Amino acid sequence: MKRMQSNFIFFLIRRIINALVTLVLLVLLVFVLIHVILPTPQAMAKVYIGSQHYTTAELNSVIERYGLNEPLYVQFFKYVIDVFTGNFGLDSLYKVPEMQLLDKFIPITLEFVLIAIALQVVIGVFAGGFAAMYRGQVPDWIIKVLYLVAWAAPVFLLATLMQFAFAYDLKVLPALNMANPVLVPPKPITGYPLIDAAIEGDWTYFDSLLTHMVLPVLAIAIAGFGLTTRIMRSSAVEVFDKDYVKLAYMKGLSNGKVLFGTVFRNALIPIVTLTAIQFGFAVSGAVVIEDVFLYKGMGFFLYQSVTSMDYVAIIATTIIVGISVIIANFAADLLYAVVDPRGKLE
Amino acid sequence: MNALEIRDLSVYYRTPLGKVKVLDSLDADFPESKTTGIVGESGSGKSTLGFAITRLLPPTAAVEGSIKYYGDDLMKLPAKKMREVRGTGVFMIMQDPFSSLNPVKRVGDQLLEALQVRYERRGEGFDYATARKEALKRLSDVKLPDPDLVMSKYPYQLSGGQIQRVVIAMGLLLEPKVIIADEPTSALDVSIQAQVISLLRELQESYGMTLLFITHDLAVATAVSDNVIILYAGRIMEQGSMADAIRKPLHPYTQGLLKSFPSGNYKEGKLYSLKGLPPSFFDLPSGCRFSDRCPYAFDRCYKEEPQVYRVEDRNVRCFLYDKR
Repeated sequence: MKRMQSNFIFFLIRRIINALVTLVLLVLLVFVLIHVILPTPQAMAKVYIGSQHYTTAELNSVIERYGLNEPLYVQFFKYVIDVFTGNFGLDSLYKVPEMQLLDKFIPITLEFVLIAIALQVVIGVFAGGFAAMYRGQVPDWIIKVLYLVAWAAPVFLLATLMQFAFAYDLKVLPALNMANPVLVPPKPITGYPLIDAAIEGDWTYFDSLLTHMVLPVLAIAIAGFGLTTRIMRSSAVEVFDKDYVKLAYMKGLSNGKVLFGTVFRNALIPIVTLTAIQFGFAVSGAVVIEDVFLYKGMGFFLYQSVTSMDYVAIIATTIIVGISVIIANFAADLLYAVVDPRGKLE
Repeated sequence: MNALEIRDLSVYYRTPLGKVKVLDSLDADFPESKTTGIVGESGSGKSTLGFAITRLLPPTAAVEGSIKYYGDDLMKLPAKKMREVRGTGVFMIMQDPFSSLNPVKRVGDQLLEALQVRYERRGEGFDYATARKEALKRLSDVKLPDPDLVMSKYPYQLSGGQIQRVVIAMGLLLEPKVIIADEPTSALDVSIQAQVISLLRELQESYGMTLLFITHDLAVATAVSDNVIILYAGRIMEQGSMADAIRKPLHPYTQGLLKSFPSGNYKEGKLYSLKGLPPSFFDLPSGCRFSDRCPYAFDRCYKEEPQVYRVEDRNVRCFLYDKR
């Protein structure tokens, strides 16, 4: 027991180092890209000013302030330190620290993407498991058609069609915004709108948030559940043929116990890694979804930054998306070790 | 009394190449508290028989005929009733120890799960401490050293022989009336094989279980069985007492099997081997299924399939015994 625990700690340390190195490499990549696009200190300074109208004195003061004249490796070192301390500089449009803006937008995106991912995993696992139970029979085919259609449809089309059908035509759900604009939003305590509304007991706002969240969440979940279903189906089909499933039945266990205790637990193992990968896709996919539903999260912010050439914001958002993917993978590795005892502990 | 009575049992598999009949009109009785060896080459339908009895054949299989378990036809039992037969009624030990335990659950939990099934069916409350004690006791019954440690391990941390003992212990915990052992030793080292076989024999005797011992190895079967069924390409070729079959094998196939393992006196010379391979189910011979490998085959053997003849208290499917 003791040895296994220390193994786990080593494994954890190795994974953390891995994640940190990946992060530094990601920052290096972004850093190199910026310097390819903006090769001179002057070009770089112009971006930080964020306007076409500046004096040479202004330009020089920005170069001085940001240390744009220093050797590249010094700049990179400082850049890494800045990124790790959450300092992305001043936003060139809003003229406030970039982190303040991200602080506001990240939780909004994270909240609905996490809910969407959870929904997607639940749909995918059950649909895939169900298809595997009836492999080669009618339910299997129906599920296959459904997920292939959802999978093949482009996210923006899916989102727009859903908006058209449920909001504009049937009028059962709101089409735009995160909440009814008439309502006063609660004070941001955690930054996560649902949690804040719940903390303040503002249930009307909470309710409004939920109904506005339905369509964007469904759009992400529907676009993404296909892959989960497919992987779950094939992994469950494989598990169904295993002797240990037959042995579980042989013991006289009930169908439910065999399905959830044996088949699903083993078939779920690849889903853990898959979900981490899909989380990355969903965060970047949120750009489109947020634009369609005017959901003012990070994707919406990124879209605005791109159209207004707000480089500082684009760079910061890129790094944040990258970080979230790395963290998701790190979490997947940990979860993997938990769900599969054969894991990579050794 | 017979624990199992099989009548006219046929099993088909649907395959991309068409339907194949893997077991063809089997009739067999398995007397209570006796061991029956079911011997055949790979692909003769041995394992299919085990899965047919427990009704755990893959969804591509179709079954005809009846399997009576103490009078109840298992083939007609509703799914819920069938589930109650599995475990405490019939339990099967599978061939490959390395895939027969759930890899993500500790061995102890898997044993306790089995115990819980038995307690529930007997209407006894499940008490963790008592159950654990019983599981530990059975693990030492199957001669596993340090049962406490074994309980806390995951299957991948055990050897094949250890897992096979754990599965046997699981069978004992369920206290089934019938145990089907499907080549329980073929994935194990020879030295471990002998241990597991004598263990099975010992346990069968002390618990009075009905044991169906499925193997491709007639020598192994002789060590444990009271009766024997020789399967060839989905047909029963010879059936009767094991002692008689060894003393005087009737069917040429049984004779071939017996001749192809070394006897006590190691004489110089080449070991006899049956020529050829068992036929494919897609392309069965038109007459006797053994005809193209049989040293005694004559014209009739290639034209029609022999029926079962009753000879010296045994059943044999061969024209050599047609006393018309």
